Amino acid sequence: MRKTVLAAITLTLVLASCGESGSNNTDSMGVEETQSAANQEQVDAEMATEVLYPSPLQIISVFQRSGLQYNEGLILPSGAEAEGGSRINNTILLGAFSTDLAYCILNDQSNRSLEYLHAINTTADNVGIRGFFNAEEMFARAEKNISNRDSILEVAANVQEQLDTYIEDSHDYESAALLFLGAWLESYHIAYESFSKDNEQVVLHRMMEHLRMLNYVFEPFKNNTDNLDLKELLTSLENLKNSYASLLEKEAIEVTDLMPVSAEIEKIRSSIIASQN
Amino acid sequence: MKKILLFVVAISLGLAMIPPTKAPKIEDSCKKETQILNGKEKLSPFRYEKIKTVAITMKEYAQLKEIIIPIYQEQQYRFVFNAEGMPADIEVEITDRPRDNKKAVVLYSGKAGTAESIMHETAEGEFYREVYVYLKIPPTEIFDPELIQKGCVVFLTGYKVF
Repeated sequence: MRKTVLAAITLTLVLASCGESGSNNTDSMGVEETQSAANQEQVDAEMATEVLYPSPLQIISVFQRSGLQYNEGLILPSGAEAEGGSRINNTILLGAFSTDLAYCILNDQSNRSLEYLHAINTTADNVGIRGFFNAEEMFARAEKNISNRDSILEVAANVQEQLDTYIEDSHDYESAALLFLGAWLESYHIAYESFSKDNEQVVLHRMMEHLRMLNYVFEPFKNNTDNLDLKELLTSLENLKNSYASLLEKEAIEVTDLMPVSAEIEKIRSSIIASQN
Repeated sequence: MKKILLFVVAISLGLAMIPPTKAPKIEDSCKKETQILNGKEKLSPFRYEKIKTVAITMKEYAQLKEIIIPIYQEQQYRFVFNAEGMPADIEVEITDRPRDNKKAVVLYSGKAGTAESIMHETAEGEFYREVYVYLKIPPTEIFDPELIQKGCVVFLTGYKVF
């Protein structure tokens, strides 16, 4: 009887130990499998189609070449970032501030450039990219080279690179689209409000080209309809896209034809600014 | 009774002798920082625009990555692909439309070895609405279940400053 009990205990212990070991293996296998699956997903996510959106600096450079004059009153007040607002709106605002920074740099507005660097830093914090920018180093470099346009451009390019790295590391392609949307809205606003009779035709051509770029904003949102704020925003953008499509049906486009589209863009831009208050 | 005990011990010993599953070894050739630095050198004098590091895990099948780049007309672009961090050669194809579109025109097609870069510039006066960049990763040549080969391609874009 004692032997039977001993055997039973041994068997239990061995099986338990095997079970434990098996469980470890299973866990280990589980982890392995999860890791492997994660890798698979990661690779798959990496391999998914991606849009490399034009940077705010490039967009503003394109408009700048049309001969737009600097108008300080057109850009966002650099205090607009401090109030709060949703993550979606703050991300759009971050793109808009990056555009205003580019606009100031290309127009040699060094002090205002610094203000927008601060605005970008605060908005990045609001978006949740806290501590992402090496802010102190960035400001020190910018302040030291305030009169050197190339150095400030380098700082702006560095900000862009850090944002790109954040998007890439977090696979947050929706934010990439929202950042672009912010830049898109702000640069259209600047161009539409500041062209003159002299450059009307060139700016019109650029604005039509710029309107076409809106199509790329939708790419990362193809499967996302859960967020109500986003849904509302996408609906407004869809309407805008349709207005642009009907514009293309015209044989010849005049600047005045842009009025309805521009009014819709201004409405979206204003609602984002208003949401910060 | 003794037989049962012996049987149990034998089974237990047998189970104990099964070797634990080994985690596969990961070989990652990616040198992201170096690739970015070298890529930026090749980008100059074009102004830095965007950077994309495509992380690759080699598979038994070929892989394809599609990147869409919206283009502003009258802007000239330079694209640099740094494949120094890849365990295998890569192929790059640039088209003006999605590759499955019959009207797609191949603007560039080429290979880069594991220590090389590819550089392509859009020609002045060439107007596109967008370009499609395709990175083709060949299937792995090492069929070892205990080895995972990884690497990366750093892709940089820049535009000409007028």
